[in-house]
Amino acid sequence: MLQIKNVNLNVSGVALLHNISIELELGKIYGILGPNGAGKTTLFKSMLGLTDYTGEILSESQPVSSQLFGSLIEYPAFYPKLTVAENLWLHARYLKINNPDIKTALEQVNLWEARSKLFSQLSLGMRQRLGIARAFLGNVKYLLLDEPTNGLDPMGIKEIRLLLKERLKSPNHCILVSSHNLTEIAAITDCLIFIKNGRIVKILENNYNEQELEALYETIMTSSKEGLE
Amino acid sequence: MITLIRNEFYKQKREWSFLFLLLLSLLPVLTGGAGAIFNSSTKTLADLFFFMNNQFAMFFPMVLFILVGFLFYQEYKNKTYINWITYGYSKRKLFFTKVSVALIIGVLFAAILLLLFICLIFALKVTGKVSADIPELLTVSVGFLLEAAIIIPVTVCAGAIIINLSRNIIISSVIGVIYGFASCFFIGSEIGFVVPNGFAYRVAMYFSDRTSYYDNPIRATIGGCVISLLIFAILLSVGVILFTHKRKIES
Repeated sequence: MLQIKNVNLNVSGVALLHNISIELELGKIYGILGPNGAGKTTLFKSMLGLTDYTGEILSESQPVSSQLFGSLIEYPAFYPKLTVAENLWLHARYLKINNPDIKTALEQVNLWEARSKLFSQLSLGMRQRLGIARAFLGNVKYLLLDEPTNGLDPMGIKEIRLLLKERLKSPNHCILVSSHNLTEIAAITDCLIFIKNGRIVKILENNYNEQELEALYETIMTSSKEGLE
Repeated sequence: MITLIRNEFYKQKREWSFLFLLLLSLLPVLTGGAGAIFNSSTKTLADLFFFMNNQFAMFFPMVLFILVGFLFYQEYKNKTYINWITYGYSKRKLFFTKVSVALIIGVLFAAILLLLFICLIFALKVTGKVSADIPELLTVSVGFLLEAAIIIPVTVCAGAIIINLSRNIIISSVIGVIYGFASCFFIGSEIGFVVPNGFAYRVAMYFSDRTSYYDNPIRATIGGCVISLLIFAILLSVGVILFTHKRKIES
């Protein structure tokens, strides 16, 4: 279980994260919803130790290490002159993984055939899938996927959705997905976390279809109330 | 640390920019060699070394600036910086890895330059265009290696500061060019030993022509060594502090 306790982050007098407290369980996919600038990426970065936050982020009651996370933050960033397989191999070496199963990782995201292509030759959809493959490589427990379908066409979005829900969801992983795409979030997540102005404003089990979620999102985001309900 | 260094070299696979930098490093010997081949007069080893070393003292700091800038910039440009710093290694270690790789490549470039120079001298000796013997060649080689030993660490540390402050390879390269020219201004000065690159040049020249050294050699040698070490330590410390400084949000 990942526990986030009273996490705050202030930059130049502005509260980017305000008293964030939440517990995230293994085996579930969480959807983080909120408008631009709500604090979704900042929350992900804090989990990775990339911000100077106050508060606690614990994994099984121990201070969390960035090595427990697989992440795809903002953009699938790789070395353009290395091939798909070489990029994953390099990632595995940084994580000190002996004999990484790169074949399985690439097969999971349908990129095994493209393993010898340079990263610079991949389409955006392939890059996103490679980013997801990398995030899952090794002994990670928590997966942070920040807008994984950003810039993808409808087929690409569907591919990522199926990938997450049907192939990568497992009792050993806790997956957090941030997105603006309500269709996608409604389809893949077990739990919804609404975030606004750096605060978590609502946490709900996902029992909604797309239309209901759209109405709910509008209600929550236009409500003047701040803080968790 | 060894794995991190290996990873850095692995990242450079298919990066042809290094070949360009190597060619830039070799320019002093290539131009000096071409001049000697097409010139009908016989030159001395000291003449050729003087020509090569003048250009080396100016060009090599530029090459090193671009080299270390490129190594760090790779993470910023590819946006891999965030991944790179979240693998669980300390930022200090990551900084030292990049600097070590720049030092290794810098030493390698200087060694290739020296080898090429030695080959050129042998080739010119065979064709009778240069008068030189092996002990003399070894002596100037020692001077050149000492010069490289001063220039490489100091310049790499200075370059690392600039690239991490600017995160822009153009700014870093322009400052590298200015740095290369500016350090040459101090070569001729009697108190030029306070600038490591100027001091390094005069040290190298001492091994080929002793009259070209400082008028007060003891003061210059002790002062130059101490100041070079001090500047290296300061630049390295500033580089580490800048890079490891905890930002409110890493990006």
